[in-house]
This record gives sequence, C-alpha cells and structure tokens, in this order.
Amino acid sequence: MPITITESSAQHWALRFVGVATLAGVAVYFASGAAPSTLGKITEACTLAIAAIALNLLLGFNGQISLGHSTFAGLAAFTAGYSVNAWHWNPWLSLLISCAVCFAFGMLVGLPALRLKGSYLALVTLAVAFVWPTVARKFLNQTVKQSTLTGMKLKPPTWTGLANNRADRATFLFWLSIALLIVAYGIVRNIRKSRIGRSLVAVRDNETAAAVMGVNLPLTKTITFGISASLAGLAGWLTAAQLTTLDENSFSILTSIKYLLALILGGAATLAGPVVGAFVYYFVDNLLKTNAPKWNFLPGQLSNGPVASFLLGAVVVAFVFIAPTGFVGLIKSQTRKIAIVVPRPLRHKAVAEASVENSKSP
Amino acid sequence: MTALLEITDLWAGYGRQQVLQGINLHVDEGEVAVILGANGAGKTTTMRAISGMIERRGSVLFQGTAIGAASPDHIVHAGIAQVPQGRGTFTDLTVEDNLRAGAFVRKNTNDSIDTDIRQWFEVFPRLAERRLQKAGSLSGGEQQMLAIARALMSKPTLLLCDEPSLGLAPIITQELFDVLGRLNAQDGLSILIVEQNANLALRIAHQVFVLETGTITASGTPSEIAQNDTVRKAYLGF
Repeated sequence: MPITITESSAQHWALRFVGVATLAGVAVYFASGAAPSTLGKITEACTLAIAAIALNLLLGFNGQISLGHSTFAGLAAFTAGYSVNAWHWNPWLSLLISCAVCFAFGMLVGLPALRLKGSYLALVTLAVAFVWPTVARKFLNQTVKQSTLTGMKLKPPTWTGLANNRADRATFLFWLSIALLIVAYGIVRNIRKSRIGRSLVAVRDNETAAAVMGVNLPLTKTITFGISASLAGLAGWLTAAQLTTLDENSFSILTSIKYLLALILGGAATLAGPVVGAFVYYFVDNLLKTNAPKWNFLPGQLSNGPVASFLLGAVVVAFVFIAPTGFVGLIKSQTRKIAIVVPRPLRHKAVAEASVENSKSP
Repeated sequence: MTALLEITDLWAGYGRQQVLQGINLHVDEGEVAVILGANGAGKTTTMRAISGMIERRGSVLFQGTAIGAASPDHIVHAGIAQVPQGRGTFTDLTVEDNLRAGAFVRKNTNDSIDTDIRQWFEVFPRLAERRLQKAGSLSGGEQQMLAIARALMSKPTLLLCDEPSLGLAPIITQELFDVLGRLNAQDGLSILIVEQNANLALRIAHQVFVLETGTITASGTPSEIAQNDTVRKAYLGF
C-alpha cells in the first residue's frame, strides 16, 4: 500500500521543501566548482528547458501544435541583439520588448489556429519556421549590413559583485538562466493550477464541451499562443545573452524539433516534463557528440559516419517505447507505488456556509 | 406560466445547408420540454443553435432577452448549460476537476464551489467514489452523470440535454431520467431534452415537440402526443 499524502499538507510541504533544497544544493554545487564551459552547458540546457516549457503550455495543456517556436525564439534574439547593439538599449528593457513582440506575433500566428487543427496547424507553423531564415538573412543583409548579428554581451550588474571576465560572466548567465527558468516554470505552473488552466485542458480534451461551459474558444486559444510565444521569446533572449554572434541558422526548423523532442521525452502535459526532458536531451546529445567519434566498435560505415546523430535517434526511438508518457510519466508510475499525492479533501459544508455568511454580512 | 425560452422561426445549419427550417418551440419556467426526433431530424443542431455554437437566424428569447446572436460564453453566463451529445467529459482531468471546470463561469470562492461539488457527490454517489480518477477511466453511464453534474456546476436556469440515453444500458438510462425528473420536481430546474427514446422522455415531460427533417410537425402535452398515431408508430412502437 503506498503512503497517501494530502496536497498542501505539512508532509507535502516538507516533501516540496526537500525537493527544492536538493535542487538548490545541486545548483550551488555546480556554480561554485564547475568550469565555465560546464556552466555554459547548463545554461544552454536551461534555455532549452524554457523553450520546452513554452511549447508545453501550448501543445501539452492546450493541444495546439507549433513547429514555429524556433521563430519566436529567433525573433526575440534578433530584437534583443539589434536593439542593444544598434540603438544601445538597456538589455533588460530589450527582454520586455522582445517578449511583447513575441506575444503579438504569437497571437497573429495563433489566428489560423482557430480554424485549423492537428497536422494542418503543424503545417502552418512549419511554414513560419521555414520562412524565418530567409527573413533573417534579408534583415542581416539590408539593415545590419553584416553576415551575423552581434549578441548582447550581457555584463553582470555591479551588485552581483561579479567581474566582466569569462568565468564570472558564465557564473552570472548560469544563475540568470536558472532564475528565468524558475520564472517560466512558475508562470506555467500557476496557469495550469488555476481556473484558466482547467479551461485550457478542457479546450484540448473537448472543444464543444468547453464552449458550452462558457470558455471563449478564440480568445483562450490565441492568448495561449501569445503567452507560449513570449515564453519562447524568453529562451531566445537568453540565447542572445549567451552567444557572441547570431545568424539566420541559429533558429532553424531543427531548433523547433529540438524543443518538441525535449518536451516529448520529458513528458508533455506534465509540469516537470519539459525541464527534465530538456536536460536529458541536452546532455545525452552532448555526451554522444563528444564521445561517439572515438567509438570504433560500431560496424563498417557507422563508426566513420555521423554516429552521434544516429545514436541519438536510436536512443529517442528506444525511449519512446520504454516510456511512452515521457520521463516524468515513468518516474510518476514508479513513485506511485511508494507514495501518492492526493488533492486536499473538499472543504466542509458547515465551514463553507459559515464563510458565505461572513462574506454576505457587511 | 411564462416562457423561459422562446424560439420563433429559427433557421440554422452548416454552411449553405439549412438543417433547421424555421422551428418554433418554448420551454416554460420549471418545466421539462422534450424534442423527439429521429436521426438527422436536426436535434443536435437545435441544441447547438440555442447554445450559439453555429450560425443561426431567427429569434431566441431567454428570460425576455434576445440571445439569438450571442456567443456561446455569453449564453452560458445568461444561464443556459448544455450536456453535449456523447458526454464530452474532459478525459484527462479527474472527476473533481471536471466539476471544477464546469464552474468556469462562476467567479465565486472555492468554498461555494466545494459545497456544490459535495452536493453533486450526494446526488451521484458513484462520482464521489471516483473523485480522483481520470474521467476517461469512467464507464459510459458514469461519464453521462459526470457530464450532467458538470453542466449543473454553472448553476444554470435551463439545462439542455443532448440525447442523454445515447449508448447507455436501459437501466442506466432509467436512472438518469429519474435524476433529471427529480432535479426538475425538487429544485425547479427547467430542462430541454432531445431524445429518440420516447418512452422514458415522455414520462418526465410537460411539453413535447416532434421534430422531423428540420420542422416541428407536432407538439403538445405527453398524453396528447402519445395519442398521435404517427408519433406512436414512429417512436413508441405500438
């Protein structure tokens, strides 16, 4: 018999505290000891996680597929890079503007989604992702008049006590990416747990039933698209903060596929899924790319060819069979045997009536 | 008796194809109205037209207010809830969350929503047992009960039921109609049901409308309708 823990009870809070403390401990351990290159990798993984969280809100919870999220990230990165370099904007202001631009563009892309579903919507967003490199190229040629766009070269603010050298910048970006990851996670978590979040899932599960419950379908779908796009923009801005140069290939359709893979591997429609998936994907990919060229035990052509991408593909296929509901789904089904978290019991009638009485009396 | 819902010359359809061809019907306050019709008569279209899910022309008055051009969410706010055909439960949400989702239009505190969930758990004890299960794992009958309870979570004045008996065992259907009858008799809830199962529907109905290929061909009290030869042959089978 598994242990039953009530949501938001003392035990649940203790469990949450232990979880958060462990994660914080791991983060501090890495920040204090690791080489700048390792920190850089974690920062990239966090960036991927933010983008996967963005996609999860749209695809996982609202059931709208987008293969155009790389474009939102690219748009934000270009907006940030250009406004900081050409107009000397404050990078933090560029963060707000980039997210706002992505929100507006996301709503716009979301409009055809009102009439399209599934593979048709995938096609429309795919078109957006395909057009992006051309648009970016034109922008670089005509406006920037260079083949690449310079990144933001984000400097650590003075209050952090960090200097503007490589090691300190890596530490700063590491903490910044973690902070933004927490913000993105927090936004999506709060949406999911709210009345609005239930309406998103309702729209995904059954549009007709959601509509006759009073959910405004067009508004819900376009706003969700907008929020998801602006979260992808957050990831794009963070990319512009890390890279020294950006070009039209930085946010190709492959980037969108990467977001999708991270989300599916981790577990769509779960809160932790995109984060876990992003880290697993990033580090498996990284591990294979670093080590696979040395492996010569593979037969014939394989050991000379692109082994890493081949193996990554094999790992992904194998994983989809082992854990069809993603990493988080697998972990959940295992931990469920030990302990389950159940929602709080319904508030008692007497209490409820008393509080209604209280609210009525002036 | 004043009419709660008054429909006059309602036309509706999909694209260029008009399914409803100028129907007239009314639901009086505190009464159960039943629309009988065969497959393809336009029953579901009528429901969708009232809820504002499709393009429609004509007059729909609800509590004296015209809702013939309102959007679905406005109509729910006005006090009309629908149990869509084929249940339409949110399969990935738990039973409890389905009910909470049903309270979407209510801006009340969680406490009063909890109180209502408790109330529906008393009416449908089987839902209480399955409170934390995903709705998708419920049987057809349980899902239909959940769909009704969920629709009632919005505290409607008028409940629309689109073929509640569809795909359910006769004993479950009987149970459902008993509950609907009780809700009407005890709580004074007005209900509009579309059905093919005339026997059960006529038992709780006050007004019956017979819908055939987009037009109302007969209407009256259940006893009047039961005496109508064509209806008797088509729907009651004797």
